[in-house]
Parts: sequence; C-alpha cells; structure tokens
Amino acid sequence: MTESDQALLHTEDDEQQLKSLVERMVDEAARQGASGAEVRVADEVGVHVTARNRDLENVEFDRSRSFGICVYLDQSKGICSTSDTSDKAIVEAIERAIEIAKNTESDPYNGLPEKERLARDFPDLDTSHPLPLDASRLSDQAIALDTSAMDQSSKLIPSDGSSAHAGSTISVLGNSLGFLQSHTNTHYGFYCEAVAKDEEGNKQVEGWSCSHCDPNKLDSPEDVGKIAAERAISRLAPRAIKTGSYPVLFDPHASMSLFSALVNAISGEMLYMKRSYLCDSLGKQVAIKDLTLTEYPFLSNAVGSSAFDRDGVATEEKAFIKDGVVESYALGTYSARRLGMSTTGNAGRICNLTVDAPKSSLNELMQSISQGVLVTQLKGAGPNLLTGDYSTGVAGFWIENGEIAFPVENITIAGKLPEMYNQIVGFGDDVDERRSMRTGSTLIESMTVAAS
Amino acid sequence: MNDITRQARADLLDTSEIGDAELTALLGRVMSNQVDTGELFFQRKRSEAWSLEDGKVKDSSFSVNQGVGIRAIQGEKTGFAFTNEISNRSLQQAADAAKSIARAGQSQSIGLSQENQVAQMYEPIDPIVSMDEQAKVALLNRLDRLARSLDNRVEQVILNLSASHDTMFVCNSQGTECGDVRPLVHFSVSIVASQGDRREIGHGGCGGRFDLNSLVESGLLEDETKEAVRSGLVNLDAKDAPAGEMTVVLGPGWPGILLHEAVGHGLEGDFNRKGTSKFAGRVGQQVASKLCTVIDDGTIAERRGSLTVDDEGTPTRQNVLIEDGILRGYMQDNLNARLSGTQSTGNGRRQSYAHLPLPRMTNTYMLQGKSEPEEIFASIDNGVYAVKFSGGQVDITNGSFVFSATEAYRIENGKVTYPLRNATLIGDGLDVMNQISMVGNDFAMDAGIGVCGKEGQGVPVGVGQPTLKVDSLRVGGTAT
Repeated sequence: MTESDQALLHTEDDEQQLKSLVERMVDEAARQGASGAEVRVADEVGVHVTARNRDLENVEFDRSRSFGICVYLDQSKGICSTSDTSDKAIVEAIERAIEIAKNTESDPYNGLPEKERLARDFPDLDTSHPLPLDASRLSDQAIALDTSAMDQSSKLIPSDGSSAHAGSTISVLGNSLGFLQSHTNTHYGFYCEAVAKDEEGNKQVEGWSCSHCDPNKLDSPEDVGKIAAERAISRLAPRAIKTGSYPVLFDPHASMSLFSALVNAISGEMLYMKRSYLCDSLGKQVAIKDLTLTEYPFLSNAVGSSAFDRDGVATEEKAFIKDGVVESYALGTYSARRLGMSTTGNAGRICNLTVDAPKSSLNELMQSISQGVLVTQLKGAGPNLLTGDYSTGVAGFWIENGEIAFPVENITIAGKLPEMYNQIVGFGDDVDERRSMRTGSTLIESMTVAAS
Repeated sequence: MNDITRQARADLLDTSEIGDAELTALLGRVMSNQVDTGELFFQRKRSEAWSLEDGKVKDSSFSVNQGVGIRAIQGEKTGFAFTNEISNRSLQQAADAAKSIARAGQSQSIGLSQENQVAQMYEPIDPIVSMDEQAKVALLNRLDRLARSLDNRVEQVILNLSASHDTMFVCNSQGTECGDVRPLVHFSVSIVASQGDRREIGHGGCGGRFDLNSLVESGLLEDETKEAVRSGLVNLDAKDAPAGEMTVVLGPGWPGILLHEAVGHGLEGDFNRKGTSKFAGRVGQQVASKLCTVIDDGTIAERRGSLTVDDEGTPTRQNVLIEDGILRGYMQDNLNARLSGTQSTGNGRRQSYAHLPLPRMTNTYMLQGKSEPEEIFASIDNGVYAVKFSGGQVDITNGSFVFSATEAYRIENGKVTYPLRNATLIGDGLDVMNQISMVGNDFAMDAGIGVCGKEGQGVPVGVGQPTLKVDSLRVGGTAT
C-alpha cells in the first residue's frame, strides 16, 4: 500500500451533516404538500481486502450514500430513493414521490407511527468502535488468513480468496412527527475460504468467518484460517448413506435458519398476507415446551442492538415464543394496523434473537445419536412457510454411535415445520454470542433423509 | 464513436464537468502507478416498481442509483474504489485509492479510441416512461381481475410490475470507449389458491429488454397470470414427494436452471483460472452425455440476459461451452482472459458501478434433440417430472448442485400421474450431465425472470432447454 491508507472512518461531523440533510428533506416534503414524510439515509465507508494463494489480490474502497423518502398524501404513499444527494436531486426525488402517491390507491393502514410509540430513550449501545481505515493492516490480515489456512496441511490448495474488511455505517431516520435519530455501527470481519484436495484429486471447499462491531472481539486471522482449513479437510472422501428416517443435528449456523423461519412465520407481512402456516397462532403451542425465543435490543456492544425499529418505534426486550407458545408476533406499524393490533417495534428488524432453552453440551447431543446426520451446510430455497413443507439439500457428517463417522454430501432432509419444532430433543450450548442471532446446535428427533 | 456510446456518454457526462480532457487525465492518474490497466465505469440506473396486493395498487417506488467505479489492475491484483458523485474531485480521490494497489511509477498519456458500430440487441429506450402512471395502475387492476375470474379458489393475488433504464459508459487505458443504454421490464404474479384446509402458492413471471407496451402486446402478462393460477390449483392436489434416487424428466424452458447450476457456474473463467472448479483443466474432454450441446449466448434479441456489450465494453457473443458432450471453453472477462492467455468472451458483468466485474453468464441453454416428449415419458416406469423451480445453487468445487421444484409430478408406467409437493432435487453436476439419456425436440427459453447471484452480485440472466431425461437424480421428498 502506498497512498490513501489513512482515510478516517465516520466522524461526529458526518453524523450532524446527515441529520441536517434528513431534516431538510422532511421540510421539503412538507413544503411540497405531503401530509407526512419519513426519510432514511445510509452512509457507508469501508475497505474490503482479498488475499489468495498467500498474496494480496483485491483492495476495494467503499464510500456510498443513499437516501430514501416516503411521503404520504393522507393515506396514499409514494417512495423514492436516490444516491444523488445534491439539492436539485432531493427536490426532484420528493416531487417524484408525491407524484407516485397521487397515483397509488389509498390504504387506511398507511401512515406514520403513533407519536407515543416513537423511541425516546437512546442509551449508548456501544456499537461503534472506529479505527482509522488502514488498508495495509487489512491486507496483512487477509494474507494471514489465507496463509494460515494453506499452512495447515499439504492437502490445502489455493482457494478463490479470503478477505478482511472494516467499515462503518451511519443510519439516520427522521420523520414529520419530529423524530430525528442516528445510529452508527462499525463492522469488522474475516472470511476465510479453504479448498482441500485428496490423493484422487477430489476437492472440497469450506469457509469460516468471524465478524463484529468491535475489532477486539474478533478471533485472530490465524485461528479463522485454521478452522476453515480443518473444515475443508474434514469434508474430503464423502461416503454414501441409505435413504431413511434419522435424527438430524443442525449445527449453530444451520440452526439459525431453523429459528429465523419460525420468526418469519409469525412476522406481520406473512400474517396479513396469510402466507404463513402460523396465522392466528397467538397463544397457541407451536413448538416444544423447552423453546423460548427472545429478542434483546439493548445488549451493550452487540451487533444486533438498536433502540428503535425502521419506523422509529421503541424496541423492547420480549419473547416471541415462550415455553413453546406464541407470545408475540413480530409487527411493524403497518402490519400491526392491518391486523388490528399494536406494533411490537419490529419493523424491518428483530434485535439479537436468542434461543433461551435448557442446553446440553454438543458432546451430550452427539452421544444421544446412534445413527444420524449432522448438518453443516444448507442448500436450496428454504421452507415453504405457507404449507410448512420443509425440504432442503444438505452436506454434513454421518454420526454413528455418538461419533462423527464420515462426511456426506448431495443428500436432502425433509419434514414439516410444525412437526419439526415439536420434535426438538436437544439444544446445544455451543452458542457464538457475537452473532446477531444466538443459537447453538439443535437436535431434531427424526427427519426423512434422501440418499442412495 | 457509435450512436449508442455517444448517447450514453452524453446522458452521464454532459451535466458534469467531465469531458475528454478530464477522462484521459483521470486514466493517466490511475496509470501513474505501475498499473497494467485502468478503467472508469460510469452508470446511472433509474428503476420503478408498482405492486398490487389485496386488490389495490398501493405501493410504488422510484429509485436512481448513479456513480462511478474506478479499477486499477496490476497482474492478478486489483484496486477498486467508487463514488456516487460524478465530479472531477471525487473521481480523482477514487482514482488515487484504486491505484494504491501498485507502486508509484511514471505518468502515462492515454488516448481513447472510437469503437465501431456494434449490432444492438435492444433499442436504447426508457421503458419507465413508455406508459403513463394511470395506465400501469389500470393494467395491474385488469390482471388482478383476470386471476380472480379464472377460478373461485383463487384467494389472493400479488402482482409486481417493474421497469428500469440503465445507462453505462466505460473507458479504459487500452483506449476502449464504449457505452450502452439497457432497458429491462419485469412482471411477476403470485397467487394463493385454497380448498378446504389446503392452501398453496402458484407463481408466474415474464420480461425482457423492451418497453411496457411491447410486454402488454406480447400477451405474456395474461399467459403468466393464468399460469400462476394453474400451478397453484395443481398444487392443491399434490401428494408428498418420494425420497431417493429416481429417473427425473425436466420440462422445457425455465428448468434450464439445471444447466446454469450444474455446468454454467463451473465454466466461469475465474474459477477455472484459480483451479477451484471441478471443470478446471478439462477443455477437450467429455464432460456430458453426447446428446448435450450447451451454449451461452448474449446475442438473442431483447432477451433478459442479453447485452449489446458487456460491462467492459466487449460485444457479447454466442459461446459454445459444451458441444456433443465435449467441453469447448470457458466464459471470460478481460482480467481472467488475460491471465489465462485468451480473449474475453464478452461475459464481463457487474451488478453496478459499486461492484467489480466478474465472468458471468448471459442466456445459457441446451440445443434441442430428436425425442418427442411423449416418447420420453413412455420410456419411464417410475420417475418424477419437474416443470417449475423456485431456484437453485451450486458448489463449483465439488460440483454439488441443488434446485427446488415448485411444480412436479409422479411418472408411473409411462404416464404423468399425480402432482407432488416438497421436491428438492440434488446431485453432482458432471454426473447429472452424463445421466442425460434423452433430449426433447421442444426447445423453449424461459419467460424472462432469472436473476443469478455470485459473490453477492445479482445480474439478470436467461435459461432455456428442451425436455430432458436424467436417468438418475436424487429427489428429496418425505415419502420413503
């Protein structure tokens, strides 16, 4: 690296400048006749560095800003977004949004949130840990990631590349009810891709990543590279298994998709569009008694923390699923009105969703399986939330007598979501608290595995 | 300079302070370090979308995304920076960031040359203004009424109509100067049909690089609305899919995502230069059954995946990837072609100015064969016939691909019998291409709905194929 290494991350000036830009847009919308307006700005600065075959490959500098405005003409709505933030472009965008609102049909559920629901307390959630944007440091880290993976074994061959990134995003939300708040998130991360090759020339690729808002919480590039390499090597020489019904152990990453499907199925849009198998499920048992799913918006120094949702409504700590029963839907202002309910502060986000359940060690879960599948990769379209049908391609390992026996690939697992959530027989304590969705491994008693 | 380049450049640069002198100075600034190639990519994309839900058109949005991406390449290394602001000052800053990939060197002077006229694959029109707002709303309302009139089991209809006008201008230190104006329209329909306690979704969609009036005149909007209702109703009677290996017949058109996933990605130049693809080093070898000829073709007029020139200014071509089962070549962009000692095949594509170009597919299809579809079904005692898919993905290193069927049927004793739910298909790309034992004479392209994702970048693509018989493929249902 020679130049441009020391550009700074966001400063307080940037934040103030964005806030006044948002204020100007809200005022301009009122001047043009909007009965209500909401403006969002996202401003990003970052560097992304890729290394491959122990050498630097790409250095990408990101610097972008875009804003989106939503105007209301009574109960009609128009949306316009642009990356051009010149005064002229702002005026034109608002004109365009108003023109759109004139041509859309009115919807009685449209409009800004109730003023009393807007967030008023803004604790410091410690999500911004700015460092100077130093491309040299990032290239050293990216090379260390790739080198560490390659050094693990002679089975490792060059991959498509490993990367280190650092960046910062300021999001500002303002509306014509007087709400004007910003939220700054820094993001740092490592991703290592490793390719292992066996004596016959068969290759397997695996990755491992680590990311956080606080650079001090990252694992070292050497450790991330080592895990990626071990994962790739462990996938070599897959063997065939027989089609049948077996217990399925989802690793923490695969478990995330299992629980995000459950929360999606009780989210406002899926409910009012009646595209969920969990319509009218409030107060009903939808999963085993041990399962409680909670969101924690106010965790300090956590990636998913936020004091307000996309509408500016205050977030709150709450359980969506309590002892297997649906305790709260996940609603924003619009979907809540449409369902005749109140917003739950979940427009566009759920903060630090956490599986709260009695947990066992991964080893205990493994020991309980005489023959079964450990799923480490999910492939394909995901479940059908309307019917609850679940069928997905997977790769992972065959478990025999509580131990990993060999890798498996090109198999599918299938079942029905309502049954799967009621057949969870174990939760692992192997939770990575740094992720925005916090779950360990999950063991499901029986699913159909399509194989040879 | 050709007319389209002149038009694109004027649209992007005439309101800014950037002229010939500034362009060559900026390229010279990038090249002042020891860089092999410098490139400036200017883009403005305007998009509009209208949606109907619950019988009302109450959501619409318009967006403008513009900016400039600057690339500096030295050997295998790339420096890249972009800016939203088309001003000389912010471009100079981006140029300095991009060139920091290489050591300081001597300043160079760059001359831009005039590209020859290239055959246009579409008209340089703005489809957003091709129809007024009231007409767009009326159109969606009419299609909503059509869907509901087809069957009283149609409980819900969601329609989306979108149009975009994408103008790009690229110039590089090798002297290329090229622009393009790319229209794209897209319609999608999703319905819920209900009967007793069963509720099922049906989908349809279409589009291409033309204006909204052409879309209306094509009759595809009505066809696809009917198609969504038909497939939703079919699924009301669907039974659980089987689990295990069986003979699978793939219908014509959109099921061509098989080719996109099973072979297409594995034939992209970057994965083969880096040696991570299962197809690396196999040019000239038999990689598929002799019945298979697979082509990537950016030159089909007005198709969704077509481009007059790619995002590096290279005219697109018809590239034969596999001929009678033999691997003929890979898809290349400039960087990977140069590093592999070959020429770009016109497959250098990027999602936007904020992304680096990569070798990407355009329209990928298999040529038709000689079998009558009836003959194909008649040859199967026990199998699955898959006609619609929600998507797929592939691991290019071990070749494993998966795709999810949203409409499929059981084949029993030579006849298509009852519909199936919940069928994911999974297999190894090379293996499945060698398992193709019959190729139909009923070639079709998809209706213009595909989006391909790679390294987080989405680009519009097309696929096509005739009916295909795959002797053995794994079906991931629940019935054992």
